[in-house]
Amino acid sequence: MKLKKTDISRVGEQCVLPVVIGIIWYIVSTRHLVMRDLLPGPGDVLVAFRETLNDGTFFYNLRISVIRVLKGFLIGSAAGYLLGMILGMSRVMEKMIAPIFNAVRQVPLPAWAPLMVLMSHGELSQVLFISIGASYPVVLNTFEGVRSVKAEYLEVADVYKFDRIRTFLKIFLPASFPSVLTGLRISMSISWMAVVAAEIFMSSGGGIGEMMWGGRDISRMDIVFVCIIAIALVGFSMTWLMRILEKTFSFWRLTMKESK
Amino acid sequence: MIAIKNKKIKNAALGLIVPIWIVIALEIVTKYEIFPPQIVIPPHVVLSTFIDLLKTGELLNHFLFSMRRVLSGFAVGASFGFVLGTVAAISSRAERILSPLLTAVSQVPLFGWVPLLMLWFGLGESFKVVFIALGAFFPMFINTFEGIHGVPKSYIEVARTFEFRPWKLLHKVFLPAAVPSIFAGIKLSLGMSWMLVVGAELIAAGEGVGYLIVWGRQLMQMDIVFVGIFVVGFVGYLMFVSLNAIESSLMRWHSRTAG
Repeated sequence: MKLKKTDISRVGEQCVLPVVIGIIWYIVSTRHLVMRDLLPGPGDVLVAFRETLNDGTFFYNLRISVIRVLKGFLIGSAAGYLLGMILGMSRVMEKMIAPIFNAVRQVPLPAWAPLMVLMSHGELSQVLFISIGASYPVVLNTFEGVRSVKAEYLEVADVYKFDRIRTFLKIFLPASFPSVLTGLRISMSISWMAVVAAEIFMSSGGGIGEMMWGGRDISRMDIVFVCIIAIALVGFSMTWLMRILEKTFSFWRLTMKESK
Repeated sequence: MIAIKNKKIKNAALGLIVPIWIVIALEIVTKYEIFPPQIVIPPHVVLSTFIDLLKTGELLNHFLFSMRRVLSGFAVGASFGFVLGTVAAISSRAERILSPLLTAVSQVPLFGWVPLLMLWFGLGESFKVVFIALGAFFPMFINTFEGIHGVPKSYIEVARTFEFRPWKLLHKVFLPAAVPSIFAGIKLSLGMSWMLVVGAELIAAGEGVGYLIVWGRQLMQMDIVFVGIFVVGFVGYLMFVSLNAIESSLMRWHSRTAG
């Protein structure tokens, strides 16, 4: 019984800040203490949500962003996987390519945006921008995964005279898999950040980021709020899905360790 | 000894093959104008533009503007992160109160805050500082929290037997044990700040390295764009390297006093 009481008070503590902020938000917006252009009330945000839902702009833009982020993620992570594998499997390639890769990686992602715009237009420039950001974590984690393969496995491969492709399929691919999944999860959350950035830096062809930017242009703070909440929810569910995927395959990591 | 030296030279030489090949290829390609000459430009032009911008002091000026923004945003965000991270790690009640809000806020990708912050803080310096501070806050908060949270129970028990007062407990036990994690937080936080200042300057600025890149794009001058990208990457790299150096010297000191 006593335990229950502390449980309730714990939940209560967790609710303190959200409730306080909610009340302040409600009072400030209903009493018009702040201009509505700067802080719309909870009701205004709901109305704006219904409005964009009814005229279809909400799902239209959200769909564009999701498809765009998947394109960038797939291209970037595929390229990253390939590069990580090459760097991991060959010491010579590592010595040749790793220095320039590490140099290029130092450039903060937003700095590439103007270059992307100059080289291509519209959708392609945004997808390329996303895929740059998506590739780095996959390269690093694939490389780590390959390098952490036990020497014994490689000795066995040596004994059986595996060629490169066989070594890749039988040893590197399965052994690096858990590490690659971690890379993919990080890559996914970076991609989602990058799509929002891309739609702000080089807006063209719609998207939730562009919708938000448009809301700012016409000082429709309620639309900006709707977009922020949508972006947060979609981003959260994407990383959540990737986490489940990672967990599902975590037995892999375990058995790899046990089968020592 | 000589063998090691030879190997180092060999490795460095291998690392130079690709960059040198790219430079030569670009020089040849631009000489025969295979690609539109406004977009693919020879590396030596980038180099001379870099020297020009350096000589006129323009580059330094832009750099200083960006640096000032980064440092003020980082200072605000990281110190908030440090203080709240410490508080949340020491008191589980504070953690329960803070975590729902912080989790919710951290779900929004940072660039998602830009339109909101621009409407609230305008286009000036305060917008950029707040934006950078927001980004600098989270890595610092998480790493401080985890560092202090991960202090071994035995340390705390020893401190209990010596009847350390809370303040002494904090600065004799918790903080020293959490130094590695806190330092990782500083590195992540500063790296994030540097990325965000470039982002913020792309969107709205009249100076700064990010602005330099946008300006080059507007003039269709690829050499300026590349100089900007190079400087941004190089400065990020320098910050990382110098933080690593500080960290390792601090760790040496740390292990000496601990031992």
